[in-house]
Amino acid sequence: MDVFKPFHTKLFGDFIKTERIYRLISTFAAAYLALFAATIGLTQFTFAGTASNTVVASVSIPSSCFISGANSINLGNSLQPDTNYPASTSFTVNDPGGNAASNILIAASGNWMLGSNSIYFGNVIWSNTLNSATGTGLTNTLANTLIQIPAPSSGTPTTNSNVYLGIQIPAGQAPGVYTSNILFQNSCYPSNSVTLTVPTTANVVPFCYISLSTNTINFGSIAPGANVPTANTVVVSNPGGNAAANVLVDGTNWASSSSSFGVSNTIWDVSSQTTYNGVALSNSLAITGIILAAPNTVNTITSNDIYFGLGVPTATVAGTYTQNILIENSC
Amino acid sequence: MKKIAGFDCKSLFVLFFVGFALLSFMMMLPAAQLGEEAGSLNFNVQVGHNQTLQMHLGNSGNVPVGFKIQLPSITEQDNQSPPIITASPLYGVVQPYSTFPVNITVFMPLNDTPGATTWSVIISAVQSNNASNPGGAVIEEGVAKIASISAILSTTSTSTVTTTVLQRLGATAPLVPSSMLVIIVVVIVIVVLSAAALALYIKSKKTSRNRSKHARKTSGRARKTKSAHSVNRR
Repeated sequence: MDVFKPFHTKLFGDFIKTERIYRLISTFAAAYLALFAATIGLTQFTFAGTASNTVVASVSIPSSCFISGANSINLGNSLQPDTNYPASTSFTVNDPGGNAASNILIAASGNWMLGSNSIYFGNVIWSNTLNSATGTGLTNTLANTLIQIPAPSSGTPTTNSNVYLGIQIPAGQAPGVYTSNILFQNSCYPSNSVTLTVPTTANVVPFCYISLSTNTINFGSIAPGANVPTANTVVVSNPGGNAAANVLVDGTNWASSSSSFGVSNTIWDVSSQTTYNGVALSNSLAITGIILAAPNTVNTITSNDIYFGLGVPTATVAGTYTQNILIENSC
Repeated sequence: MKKIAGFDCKSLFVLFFVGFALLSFMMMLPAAQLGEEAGSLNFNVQVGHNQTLQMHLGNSGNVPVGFKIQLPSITEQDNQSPPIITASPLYGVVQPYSTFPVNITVFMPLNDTPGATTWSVIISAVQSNNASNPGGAVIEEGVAKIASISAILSTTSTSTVTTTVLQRLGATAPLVPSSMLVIIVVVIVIVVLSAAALALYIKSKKTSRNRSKHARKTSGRARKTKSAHSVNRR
């Protein structure tokens, strides 16, 4: 110990006086060396691990399908009452970013409404074929159309398919714009897309039709100077329309192969007469004043009668005469 | 066998079946149904111009329906030349469950006076019918549109507008052409402006003359006062 004394004394002076201090220093030095060695060893171990070991990462990607499409559908701007429109309105259902093939499900949220008037949801038809007249009526719960959308892929991230829609406008359906929603959903195992709700309109326009109970009137054989009472009925109808109509009438002269007599010898009236009495027919259209009320969904046909009579002028040449009478509805 | 209202169940079933079949058959029967969209055709045509509106025919039946358009013959009314009506197409076929637009065009003669008269005419679409009934009447059916036609002021012809306005104001012939009117107005404006400018010029000259007169007077008076002062000092 005396050998070190001069050095220690030189270095630390009187601070180091006992042997305990040397032991402490030795212990610290040993601990430091051990720690250093351990650090080096660990670092080497880590480098070695990067080179030779594998971390296994796993993720589960389920079959998924999504849905998108236009935000509205118009089934027609000028739809006539009493008319079946084939499935000509196209709606494209997309699967943006899914990874599985899917089927399109379809439903209506309810009847098509216009105030208190409605068109039954089953009157709106869907089909997978353009212009198909025989589609399937919508239901108010989702039904599988079996129309398939192919699975999107990284090359084709969005796939789609078309659903074609048509509508049957009932006879007498009141005019106006009817609205409801059509719901679409893409179905793919094990989960379905969210429901796409598309507001859908149908504009029914005011319309009148014409139908006659007969296309001929046979007045029979009439002697010159004689007549037939105004009692030959023609029933004029407005079948399935939704607008009131005025009845107009005109005619042509009576003509045979060799002779003729005037149109005004035919007369018409709004009521049946027991005599030859009424308004003379002319060759320009006359408004008769007969009105056919607007049909509705309860009374789908409205009608009224017009009566015709004929007088044959004296000295009319014998023969078979013919006349054309035109009856028209105007609305 | 059990009976309902005097009929046995088997007979009732057959009756219902036959009825259903008949109804189905009737519904399948081919039938055309001509109609038209409601609404009026109101033509307001500028004189010397034409206007086209559409008449929409429809067919709610399951077979096509042919039609021909019949146009009215219009005669002079209130000393006004009748408008000329044309339709396109004049013949056609409305397909099942569809609408067919027919263009109705009205030309208003240039010499008509706007607002002088309104024509009410009927345009018909008659369903094609080859029926014949020797010894009787054949009844044809169709739809008709009652249209009103009025002449309105032409917005493109200035002379027509000017003439019409003057006529409405009760002006008597000979009427001055609009180009002449414009020239007259321009000349009047130039004359008025020149007169105003001349008046201003004369007025300003007068004022300046008065000012110089006044200045001369003032300076003379000052000179007189100065000389008076100098005389007093002396």
